[in-house]
Amino acid sequence: MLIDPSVIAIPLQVSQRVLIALTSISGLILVAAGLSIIFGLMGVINLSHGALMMVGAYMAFTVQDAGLPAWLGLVIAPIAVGLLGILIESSIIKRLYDRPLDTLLATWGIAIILREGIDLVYGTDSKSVDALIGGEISLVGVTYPVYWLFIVLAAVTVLAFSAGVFKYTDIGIMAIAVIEDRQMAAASGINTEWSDRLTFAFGSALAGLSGAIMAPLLSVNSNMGINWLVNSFLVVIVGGVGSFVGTGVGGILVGGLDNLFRTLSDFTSLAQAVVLLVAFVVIRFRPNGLIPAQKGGE
Amino acid sequence: MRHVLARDHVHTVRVIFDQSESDIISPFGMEVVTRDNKNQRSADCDKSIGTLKNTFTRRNFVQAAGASATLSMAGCLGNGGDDGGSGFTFGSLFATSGDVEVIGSPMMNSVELAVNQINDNGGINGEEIELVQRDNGSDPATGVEESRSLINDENVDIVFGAYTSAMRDAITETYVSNEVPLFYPTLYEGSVCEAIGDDIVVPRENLEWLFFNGAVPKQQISPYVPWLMDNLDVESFYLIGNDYIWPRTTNTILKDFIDDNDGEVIGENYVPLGFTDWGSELQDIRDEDPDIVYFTTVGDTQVSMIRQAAELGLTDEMEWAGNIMSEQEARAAGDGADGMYCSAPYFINIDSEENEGYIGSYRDEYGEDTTPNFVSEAAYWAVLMTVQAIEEAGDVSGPTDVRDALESEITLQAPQGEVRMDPGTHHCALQSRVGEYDAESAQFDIREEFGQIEPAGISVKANCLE
Repeated sequence: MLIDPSVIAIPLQVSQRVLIALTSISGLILVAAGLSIIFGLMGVINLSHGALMMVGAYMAFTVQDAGLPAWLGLVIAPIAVGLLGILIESSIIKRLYDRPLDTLLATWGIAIILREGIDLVYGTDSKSVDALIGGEISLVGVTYPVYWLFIVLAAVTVLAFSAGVFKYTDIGIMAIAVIEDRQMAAASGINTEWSDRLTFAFGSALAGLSGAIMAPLLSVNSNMGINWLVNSFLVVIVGGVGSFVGTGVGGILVGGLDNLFRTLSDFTSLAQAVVLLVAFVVIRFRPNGLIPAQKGGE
Repeated sequence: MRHVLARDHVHTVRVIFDQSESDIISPFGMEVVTRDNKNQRSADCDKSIGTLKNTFTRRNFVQAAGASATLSMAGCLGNGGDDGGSGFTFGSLFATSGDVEVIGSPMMNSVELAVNQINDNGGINGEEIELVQRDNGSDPATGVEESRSLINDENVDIVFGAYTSAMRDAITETYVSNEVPLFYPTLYEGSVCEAIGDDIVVPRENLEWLFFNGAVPKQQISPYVPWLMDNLDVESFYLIGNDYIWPRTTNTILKDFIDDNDGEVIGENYVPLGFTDWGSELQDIRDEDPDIVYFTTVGDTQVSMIRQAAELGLTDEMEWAGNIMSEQEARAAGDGADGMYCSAPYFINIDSEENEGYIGSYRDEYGEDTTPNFVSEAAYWAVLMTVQAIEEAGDVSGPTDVRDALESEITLQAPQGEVRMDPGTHHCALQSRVGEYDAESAQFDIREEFGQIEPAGISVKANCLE
């Protein structure tokens, strides 16, 4: 068989690029998923989202540091950060549901407390977290780290699971009811206080899980969440507030454009500027994001 | 503009000005406050106690109380402030919060350690040094405020401070205009006087009040590039760095050395600070297929680069080397950093009595929570060098005298080996060596010792101050 090698080389390069972009997009979606619940559904401007993700990464570190199997980190991180979410909601956030702008200040304060708290317990040095699974697999002719594929699957699973919870489970539907009309929901016998608490805890748990999953790719320290906080808000707002499909689409748009521009040009900083510019244009013409929530209420 | 401070043992005259108007206000518009030295003294003591409290939480209480209490309370327990003025006050201004606290904390600790060791041995001429520590919060504006406070409220004789070039640039003016020396213990780009064209980072008039003991590119790169090419048998380089002055200047100089040694640069890329999503950039490197990747990425950007390159298999496919990877970043990067090379004046496992006096004491005092590295080592002996300068000069009092004392060929045995101040440039002759990281032992195996290298040449103009 006579095939010009350059003919194969181009699709191979393209598929390599696509796979790499896929992991980048999935990371964004994974981390943004928790925010799309707390900010998107509940309307809490949660500036502690990055810090919650960071705590999740530290949970993964703690598990590995204690010599326990790495997968346990992915179990303990969401549980621990979920419980932390209950604590935060019941002490601070529950007083602020009718003062959404104040949640901005309060959650930033929480983020500072979490960062300094982690520094006190673990010291300021960056930590190293190993990937759950090593090795590479061959996908469409490209060797690709198994763990990067795992990140893609995790993002899809988390998004589908979250959407399912709020669409098909009683507890999820009750949570939506409370968010849309608190008094009516209370009148129908729903415990609104616990519904809020569990919703917040669920969003926090997802933030913690995303931290544990992303940790092996990153430098784990108390400041690691700040970049992710900004990107998560970008993804949720561009994609559409209050919708999981929107979050997915937002991640694909933000991450996809970013990787595309970085591939086409040599200027990484410029690529980020272009992504922000596109985000501005999207918000200008679709203020509620690309795929906003379709529901009653406001 | 210049703010002249009059110092007096009985009355302290302080010039207070509004920060926002500091550039336009006339000297006659300033409020001049005269207050009793005794009150000033007790205010200082309150502040010292405040600082002391902040540090308690971070380390062993007993050690902190023992070491810092004698230090900070020395002036307070005296005869009510009459002794003020004859002892030295050192300022320490590093980040213990914010982006670069990972580096700032061991630097702050190392200055404290050096001062404690000197005070334990009788201080300077029998008097203990008072140390005032301030957190610059990794924020240049805070750095400027704290610098003013150190100079105006604490009457410091010298300040050891700053890590990033941005911080150093922001605070320099405050020291130059107040005529207080600033000792900057970090590797940096140089560009002193008109050494490399018109891009002057440190003009002559600023250099008079600045002292440097971190490596400039020449001290890391000049023997390193030929060594890499010979020993690793590499020719084609890919340069990847963060997008700011240090990596760009370093790479400019690096390219000259690669050219001189008949190597070639086949790719060059810069990513923003804080960048961590490396896939696309690493694919670019794989496509270019260089023999060696030379990285000048810093902090979290560097750690995430190494981790992701290792997962993609790139660390096995080619050599990786740089000159800003310390034990701290390498440990955070884990197994991926195994076999990577770094050029530095100092690695923590250097076998010498002086290094044992540093690392051993550091571990006793601060435990394992922070990792000392080549910049904290420089912060440590910057204090030792200053004290030696003061003692050698004799009859030193006040910031100007300290500056003059440092402006001589002070030679000492630092943890890294013999170092010497070069009075013509205010930079130091330093050791230069190559380390290869071993993930198993979490340390650099020292592969080559180049000996002592002078700072002048390339990005530092020789005898700039003469």
